[in-house]
Amino acid sequence: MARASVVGTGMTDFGVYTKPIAELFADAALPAIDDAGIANDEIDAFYFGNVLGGATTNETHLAPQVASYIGLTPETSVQRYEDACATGSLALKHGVRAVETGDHDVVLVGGAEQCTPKGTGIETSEMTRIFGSGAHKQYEQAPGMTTASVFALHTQRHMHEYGTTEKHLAEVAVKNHYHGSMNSRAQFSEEKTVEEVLDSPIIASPFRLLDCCPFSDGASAVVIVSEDAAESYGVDPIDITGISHQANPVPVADQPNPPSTDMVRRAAQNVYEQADIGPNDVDVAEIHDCFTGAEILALEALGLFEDGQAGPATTEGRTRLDGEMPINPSGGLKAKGHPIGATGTAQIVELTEQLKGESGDRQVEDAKQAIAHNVGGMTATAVVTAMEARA
Amino acid sequence: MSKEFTREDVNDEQSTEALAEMDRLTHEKWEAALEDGSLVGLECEECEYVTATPNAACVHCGDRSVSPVRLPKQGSVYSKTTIEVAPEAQGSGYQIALVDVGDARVLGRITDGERVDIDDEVELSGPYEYDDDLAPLFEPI
Repeated sequence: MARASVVGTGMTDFGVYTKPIAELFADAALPAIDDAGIANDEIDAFYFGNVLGGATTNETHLAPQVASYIGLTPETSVQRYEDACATGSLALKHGVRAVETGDHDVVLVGGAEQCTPKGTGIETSEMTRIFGSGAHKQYEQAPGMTTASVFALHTQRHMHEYGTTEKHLAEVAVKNHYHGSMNSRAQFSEEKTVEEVLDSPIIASPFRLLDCCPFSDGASAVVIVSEDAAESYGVDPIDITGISHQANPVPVADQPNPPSTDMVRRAAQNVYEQADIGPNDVDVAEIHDCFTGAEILALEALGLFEDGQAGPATTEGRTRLDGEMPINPSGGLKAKGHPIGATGTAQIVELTEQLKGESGDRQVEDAKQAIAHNVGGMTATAVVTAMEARA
Repeated sequence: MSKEFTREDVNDEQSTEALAEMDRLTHEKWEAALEDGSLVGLECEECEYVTATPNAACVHCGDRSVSPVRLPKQGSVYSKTTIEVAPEAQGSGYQIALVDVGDARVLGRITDGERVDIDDEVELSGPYEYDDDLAPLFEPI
């Protein structure tokens, strides 16, 4: 039983854009609407993800502005969502609920973000401060915690408890750059070696520059409808069979025993129950690899590998495209890029194409069941989504 | 019919609500303790969870019967990282650490120039100030 179905997808290449945010989003939304074969006046609601507009370009009330630019009628119910890096998935959750309950028949869900120095006119140190705004001002920002360093705290503990090594982490980057080299929309098309990763400068130990996803600009969009209505759109629908949104306590000091990322374990269990599948049924996954260690933590929290085994499994090639559990065929946040408000629905775009068998060189063979994992803030929010191809 | 809630009630220092408000561990009180060289946390009377930073209710079970407790000044490092890229005013090449202080865990800054590892013993050495906020500063023992 699906909760909603994806009937159209679109996304921009991820990289550097200086154009206004509405123009950027149009380059994802209009192709998604065309892909669904619908007219603008059929769209009942538009849920838009954007995180940093208020801090970077002094723009907050973006949903009506973007809706107007792409030609949605004034009758469309429009709303902006913000949930740090899980923003796109939060918008998707509400879209799924809207079509599931019958509140709306057709919902356009997507996100757009500009994070690069060129796209925003803001240099790296200041953008690091703005990215850190997802942290608790008094109990996380004040001592000096950054986005990289919260994942670093989890990862250092993981290394201590399980013997995960910097080389294991580097292998995550190498694998995701390899996948990204087959994705024309990826910000980075070049492959990297373990040596290059280990020779790159430290950002927050154990993470080096090449363990970290880049600052990115880009947009993504999907059109979702109810399961029953999906067939009538004359396209090959992909079903969303589960979506779960869970939180962790803030500040990170109150989260139960890092690196367990308890919220992801809860979300995964919940989503597997909704979709009536188990981790062994998953054929392909898009994982929130904002830092290499984050992919290791996620693979274990999602039950795809035993605790402590994700590092060695990565080094053994088990998460590569031709491995038993292909992870981030898109290149992930690491190589594809991470325009934060657009990331959640970009994962859905990739998995929709994978489940349709339209991913070209990076196609995962016989992909029928997929999951997306999107994390927001200082390991404070997780959204896990299950998707399924129709038989 | 219930009595109208008046301005006098709000200003009455004996009212239960006013007392509850006064008893709550605020950020201001937490910072004042830090300036005096001590860490104050909250213990939940219901589930016994101890947190190292102020909340209006227990972060573990949600119960509002939380009471201020003085936390030990010495603790051990649960995890740490050395940060090279940070907001400009934070500097670079500094460490932060999750430190277990008694039954609570707190995020602190490590004294500039010092390096700690997991399981190292550290001691509160004063407040660290950033952007008008105070945070616990620890040094290795």
